[in-house]
Amino acid sequence: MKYVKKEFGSYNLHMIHTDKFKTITIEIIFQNKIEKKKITITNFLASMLSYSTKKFPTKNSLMLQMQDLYSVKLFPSCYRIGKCYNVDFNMCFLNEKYTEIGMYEKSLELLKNIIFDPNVNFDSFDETSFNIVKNDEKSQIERIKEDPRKYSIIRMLQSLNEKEVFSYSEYGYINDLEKITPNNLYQFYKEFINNSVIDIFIVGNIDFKETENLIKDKFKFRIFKKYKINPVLNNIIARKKTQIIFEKEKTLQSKLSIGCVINNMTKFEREYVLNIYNLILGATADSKFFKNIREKYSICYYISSIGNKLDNLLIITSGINKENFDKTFSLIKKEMNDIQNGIFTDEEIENAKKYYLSLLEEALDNPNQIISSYYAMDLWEVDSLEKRKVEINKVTREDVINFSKKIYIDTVFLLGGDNSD
Amino acid sequence: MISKELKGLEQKVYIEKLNNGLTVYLIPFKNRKNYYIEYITKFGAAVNKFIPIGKKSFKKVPYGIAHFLEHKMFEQKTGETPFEFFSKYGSDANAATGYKVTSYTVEGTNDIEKNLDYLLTYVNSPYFTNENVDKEKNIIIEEINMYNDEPEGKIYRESSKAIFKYHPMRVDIGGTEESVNSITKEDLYDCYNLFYQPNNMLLFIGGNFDIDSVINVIKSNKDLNKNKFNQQIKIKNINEPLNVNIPYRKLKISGLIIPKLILTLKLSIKEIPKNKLYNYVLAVTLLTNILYGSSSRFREEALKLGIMSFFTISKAIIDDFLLVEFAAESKEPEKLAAMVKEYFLNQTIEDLDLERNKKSYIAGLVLSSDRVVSTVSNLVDTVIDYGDIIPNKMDIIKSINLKYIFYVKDKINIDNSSLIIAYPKNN
Repeated sequence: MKYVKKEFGSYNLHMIHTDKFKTITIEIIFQNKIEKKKITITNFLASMLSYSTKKFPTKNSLMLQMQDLYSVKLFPSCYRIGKCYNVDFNMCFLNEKYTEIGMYEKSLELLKNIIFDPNVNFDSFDETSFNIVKNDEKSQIERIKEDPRKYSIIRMLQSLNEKEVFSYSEYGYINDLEKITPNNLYQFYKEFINNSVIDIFIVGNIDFKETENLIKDKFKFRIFKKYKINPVLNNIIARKKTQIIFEKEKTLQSKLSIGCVINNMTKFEREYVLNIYNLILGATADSKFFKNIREKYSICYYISSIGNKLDNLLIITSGINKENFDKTFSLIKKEMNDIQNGIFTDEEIENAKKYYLSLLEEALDNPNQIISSYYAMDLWEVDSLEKRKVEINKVTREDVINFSKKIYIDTVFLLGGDNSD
Repeated sequence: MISKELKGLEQKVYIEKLNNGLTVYLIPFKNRKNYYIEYITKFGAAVNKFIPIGKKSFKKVPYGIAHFLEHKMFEQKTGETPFEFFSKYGSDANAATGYKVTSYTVEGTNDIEKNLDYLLTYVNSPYFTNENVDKEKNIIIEEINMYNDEPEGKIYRESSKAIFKYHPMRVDIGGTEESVNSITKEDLYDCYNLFYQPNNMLLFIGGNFDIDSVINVIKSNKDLNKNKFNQQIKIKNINEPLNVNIPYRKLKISGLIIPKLILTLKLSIKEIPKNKLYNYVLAVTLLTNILYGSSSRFREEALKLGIMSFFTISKAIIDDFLLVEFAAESKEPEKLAAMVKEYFLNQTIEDLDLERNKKSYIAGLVLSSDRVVSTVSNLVDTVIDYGDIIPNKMDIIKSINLKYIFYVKDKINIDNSSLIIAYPKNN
C-alpha cells in the first residue's frame, strides 16, 4: 500500500494505491465547525445534491446514469466528529479492468456533476426535487423516536449538557427545516463550497499521475484555505452528584443510557488507554459487563460501553426490566469500581490489546476504513497504523487504573418500560 | 476435493465432502489479512415438529427453540466460554438464528487453525443443565422485548401471520415469552442430536488461510469426528396452502410515528424444476428491479406525489414458496399499495430496461465479491436456497431475455398477496 498526499491550497488530495480491491473508492470530505442552526440545512444540501443535478434533473435520470456506469454507488453522509460537522460524498465503482475503458473518468465526471452542477435555476434549487427532499428530511427527523434505544441516548446527552455539541441532533430540527427555501439553500450551497475545508481520498488499484490529472481537471475548488479544525472538545466538569432521570414511554423494556464524563485525558490515554479500558469494561462479549452482568445475573440481553475520545465521554447502554434498574445500576458501578481498585487480570489487558490489533489489521481490508484511518492521521495527528501497533502494547495496568479514576458518572437516563399494547 | 471457478469473479471455491458427512467450502483470497468462518446447521426457527433420534413418532418442540439452542451452545462443560477463548486470539465470535439455518461465525486475522479447531470443538460439545437452561430464559425474554419495542418488528410479525396459515414463520424466531419459558434441557438435546449431525451441517471458510492446513485441522478435530449419529432427518410436513391467510389488515401501533406498509406476494415454486429455480428467482428479481427499483418510473412518481419516504424490495424462498416483499414508509399507505399493483399490471417493460438492470446486477455481484464476509454470505445463501454453489451466475444473468421475464410475469398472481398497513396509535 502506497500513500501520497498533495496539497493544492484549496483542497488536499490523498491517493492510496493497493491491488487488494476490484473497486475504486473516492471520498470527498467537506469539513466545517459545527453550528447547531446549520445542521439541518447541511443535511438538506447533501441530500439535495445527490438527488438530482443540472444534467440529470430527476432522481430517475440520475439513477439511470449510475446504472449505465456499471452500478456506481453513491453514499452521501453527514455526521458530527467532535467539534466538526462533516459531509462526505463517498463513491464506489468497479475498476475498469472489470468493466470498460473510460469508466474511471466517467464516474469521476458524474461525481463532479453532483458537486459542481446542482439542479439550480435562477439562483434557486429545482422546486420539484426540493419538495421531495424536504419530505424525506422531515421523515428522517420524525423517525428518530421509532428507535427507542437511539432516542434514549439522544435524550441522555441532552440532559448531560445541552450547551455542548454532543447534545445536538445529527438528524436536524423541524423548526430549522421549515425555514429552508430553494433560494436560501442555494445561497448556503455557495457558502458551503467556498468555506469548507476539503479533502479528497482515492483508494484502489490506481495510477497516481492519471488520478491526479483527472482530479485536477474535474474538481476546481478555488478558495484557498489554511486553517484546520481540531475536533477534540474542551473538558467539561462532571456533576458532583449524578443526575438520574426517568422518562415515561410505552415500551416493554426500559432503555438505559448512562453518560460518563472523562476528565483531562492525555493524548496517550485518548488514543490507547481509553480503548483498552473500554474493551475490558463493556465493548465485547468477553467484557466485564457481558460476563458479570448479563451472564451471571441474567438481567439483560445487551449491555455495552462505547468510548468517545473526541467528546471526552464514555457511554453505557442496556435494555432492562424497569424493576431491575437499581440492581443493574449498582452492578455497573461495581464493575467500574473494580477496575479502579485494580480488580482485573493481566490476561484481560492482553486480550484487549490483541483485539485492538486485530481490528487494526482488518481495517486494511476495507477501503472505507483505510480512508478514515488516513483522515484521522491527517486531521488530528493520530499516530500511523504502524506506530499504533507499537504504542498499544505500552499500555500498562497502572495506566488503566489511573485512567479509570478520571471517569465520572454524570447522567443516568431511563426511557420507558411502562408497558406497551 | 473438487474446485470450481466462479466465472467473472476471479474466485475459486474448493469443496470437500468428509467421510462423516460434513461438507466444507473453502474460498481463499489473495492479499487479505482477515478470515471469516461460518459453521452452519440446516436447522432454524421454521422447524418445530420432527422425529427425535431413538423415537418413532413426531415431537412438537416449543417455538424459539433453535434460537435458544444457539444461545446455549456457548455454555461449555470446561467452564471457559467460547467468547473467552476467542478473545485470547483477538478474534470475534458470534452466532445467529434464522428461519432456515443457525450459524456460528468467527472473524479474525491471526491463528486461524486454533480458532477453527475451537469452533468445531465447541459447537460439537453441548452442555445443557437445568440450571444453565433456566438462567438463559430471562436473557432471551429481554431480547424478545427489545425487538418487540421496535415498531417495525411488530409490523413484520403481523405480516408473517397474514401470509401464512400454519407455517412456524407465523411466530418470531425467538419465540414468545411463554414458549421460551417452557423449554427444557431434554428439548434442547432432542434438537441438537438430530440437527447437529455432520451430514446436516456445512462449513465455509473465506479469506486469508492455507488450504492444506485448515483441511488438516478439520479432519483431525476429535469432537467433530466423535459424533456417531448419522440418521435420516424426518421433519413434519406443513400443509401450507398457496393462498395467503389474510389479504388485508389495518393496524394501529404505539411507538410508530410515520405510517408503514408491507405488501407480500406469495408465489408457488413447487412446479419449478430444481435446476431452473435460480433462473426463476433471478427473473423475478430483475422484474421487480425494473418495475420498482431505484431508477424506475414508479419511484419517480411516488416521490413526486410525496407519498413515499422509504421503499425496499426483498425476496425469500420458504419451502414451496417465493415471497416477494415490498416494505415502505408512506403518509398515504393505501394509495402507495394501490400504485404498486397498478404498476405491475400496466407498466411497459422494454429491452433497454432489462439490459440496464442486468448490467447493474452483474456489477453488484462483482462488487460484493470484493469483501470476504459478503462473499462467504452470498455462497451460504446460494447453497441453502439452491442446494449447491452456482459457478456460472454471470452466464445465467446474461441469458435472461424479455420473453422469459414476460413468461414469469404472466404467471404471477398479484392478488395472492397480503397487505399490512400500520398507523401510529395516538395515546
